[in-house]
Amino acid sequence: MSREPTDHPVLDRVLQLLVIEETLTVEQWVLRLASETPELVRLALKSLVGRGVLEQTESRFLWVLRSRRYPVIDGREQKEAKLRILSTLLGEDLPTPHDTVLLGLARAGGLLEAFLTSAEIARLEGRMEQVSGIDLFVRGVESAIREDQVERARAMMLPMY
Amino acid sequence: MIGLVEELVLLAIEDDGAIAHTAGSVGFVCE
Repeated sequence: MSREPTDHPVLDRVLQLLVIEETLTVEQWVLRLASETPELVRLALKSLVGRGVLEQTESRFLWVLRSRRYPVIDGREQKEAKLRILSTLLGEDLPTPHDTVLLGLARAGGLLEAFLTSAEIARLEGRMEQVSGIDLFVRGVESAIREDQVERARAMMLPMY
Repeated sequence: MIGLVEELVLLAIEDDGAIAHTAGSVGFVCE
């Protein structure tokens, strides 16, 4: 596997881990990388701020707690991502590999609820299954998230004593 | 052009600039 930097800080961070660790399945990698999530999100936000897509604002809550937000500057990139997802969902053509993964991961992460109603999501479920099922990586991520949710639900059901 | 991960993070940004807590965001820390 190439160790060459990709110019995407998040990918470079994951690549560093991929080359030093043993071979794992997609499910195992998702669970392994879960502990890295805060750092990966921080890197992605920093990259978006650096590219002028988001701005970073800070405020204080009750004088002590710090709140950080990332308002979208002109919304072009966010709108474009949403439109590509909608186009994939409403179209009948085979989407590009990039759009297949974008839709699959947005669905697995519960991000579609931000711009589609529950009724629309339910109506488009068949198309989502069809598109997400194409990609092995998306199926692995969905499976890892399901597994994690089952584990968490089981942990909550355990007696406290 | 922004990457796939950046696009996904962008989709999690709400109108007020907060980061949505999503199904896949186990361990998400929003400062």
